[in-house]
Amino acid sequence: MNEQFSAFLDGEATRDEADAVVSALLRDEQLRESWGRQHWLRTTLRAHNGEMAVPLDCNFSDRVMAAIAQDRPETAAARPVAVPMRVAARRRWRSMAGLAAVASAAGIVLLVSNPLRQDATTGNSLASASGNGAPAATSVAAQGNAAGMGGAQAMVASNELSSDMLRQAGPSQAAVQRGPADHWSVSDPALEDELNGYLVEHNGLARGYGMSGTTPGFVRVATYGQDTPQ
Amino acid sequence: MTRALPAFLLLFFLTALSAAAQAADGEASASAEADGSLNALLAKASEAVRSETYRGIIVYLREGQLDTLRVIHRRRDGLEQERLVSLTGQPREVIRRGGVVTSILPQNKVVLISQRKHDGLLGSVAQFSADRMGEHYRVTDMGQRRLADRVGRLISIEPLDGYRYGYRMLIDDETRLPLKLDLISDNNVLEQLMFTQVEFPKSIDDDEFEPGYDIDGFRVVKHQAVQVEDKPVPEDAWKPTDLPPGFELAEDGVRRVTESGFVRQMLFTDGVAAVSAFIAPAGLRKPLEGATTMGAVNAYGHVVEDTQITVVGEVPARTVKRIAENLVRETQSASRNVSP
Repeated sequence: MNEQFSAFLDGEATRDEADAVVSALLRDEQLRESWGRQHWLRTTLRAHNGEMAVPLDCNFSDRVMAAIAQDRPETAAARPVAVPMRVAARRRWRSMAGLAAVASAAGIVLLVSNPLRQDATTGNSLASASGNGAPAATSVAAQGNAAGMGGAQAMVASNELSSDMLRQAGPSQAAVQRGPADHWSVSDPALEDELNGYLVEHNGLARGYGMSGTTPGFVRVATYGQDTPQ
Repeated sequence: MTRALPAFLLLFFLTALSAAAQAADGEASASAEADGSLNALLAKASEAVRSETYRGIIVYLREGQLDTLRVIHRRRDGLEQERLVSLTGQPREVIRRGGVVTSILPQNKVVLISQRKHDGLLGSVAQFSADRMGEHYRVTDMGQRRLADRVGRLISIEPLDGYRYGYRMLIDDETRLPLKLDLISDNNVLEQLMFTQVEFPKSIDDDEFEPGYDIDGFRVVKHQAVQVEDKPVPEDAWKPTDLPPGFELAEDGVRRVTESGFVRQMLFTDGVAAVSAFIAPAGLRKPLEGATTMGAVNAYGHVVEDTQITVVGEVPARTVKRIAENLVRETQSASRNVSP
């Protein structure tokens, strides 16, 4: 199982191996702990290699099991350790990105009309938010404040590293090349929003063609940005 | 005897040839029937997603990431209802009732409500063309498999070139609901979506489609969803050329994105995969030039003079790039028209 698990984490598992790993994860507590350790190790190494860093969450699998067992969504209250302001700002920004995706799924054109994603300086629109080369932390914080997000939401799990922290270990440019699994590999929030909107419009129109119609709706959207710093 | 032998050999040869031809015809016919049957099965799977009553846990795997969602679905009296609850990461709920989609974000204390005037293709059943699939995919019945305590049939849809992904779909024998879907590229599984638990109750009560959160005090944001405009598509403006093999234009419309701004959307499909090209005025934001990706979804941006072309789809990067770079503006008069 360890070999299968390792191959799975490296993306080299066969279909059957991946199936076996998932089944084992769902029933084996020790394996879930191992998942956390190995995932953290790979994440850190990747960050040092300049690849896209993803956050570590060692309790992730346990929370999956707990959520399933208790038949309830995981809540933010389960993550009780405060983090530095810079991380908090990114968390707020990512929340907005996720919000954008969900709202876009609902057919909402957040690019221009999302009242929660007002640009702090102009208060409007794609045009104002686009193309600015402002440092991410600054613009992110501004968006978070504009959205009225409270400091109480600056909470993440104690064993969860932020991608900001991990990126300091390696060049961030490479992050764009690798391509994250759950959000667009772009750094401009306006562009990310636009791509989200396009993806949702695409899904809506493609629903009647081929494989697009064979999965429950909104899965990709409901999981948007879930593995990025919260 | 000397004359009889060649006559016998000729008769034997002709008989054997005829039998071989009949056998070949029979095999071809059986193969076509099997292909048709598999395509019909895929269409039934698409229908089952919309029509069956089910609840379960879905695990969504991509690149080592794992998300878990609870899904509840029914169609009653022609009304399709769906509730999707994230069990990992940020708490989120998406509840769909026909064309009305309610998204609840408890952390943000926000409820987003969107309404489409028409459900449109969201409520339609995907059709699989056997002829078109056969040209670019090899569809194979891989036999029965077991998942989530149910037995299903595993169908492999293998691409014949590098312009499309492959799929493996496990279709429940009893209900035809897809229990598992693998998205494959170069023999690597890019994404897996599967039920780890699923049940098919005769009915699901209304209250299971109610929000799991007390949304009293949440900020409610209502939006009218984007609608396809009645405005005719400017036929002479942009044309696809040299599309990837098998892809054809299936939908072409203009959508309003701002009070005065329009985006043209062209949908291309090879009968299995679908790709959209969005043509919009450039300069509204930082231009997208080149490739970007989100897991198995690829996008490619291309700026032509005053126009931003963005192609998005669950297809390989080379496919979106080829489509984006082969959309051409045809006429001089159209080139003066900023609107797509």
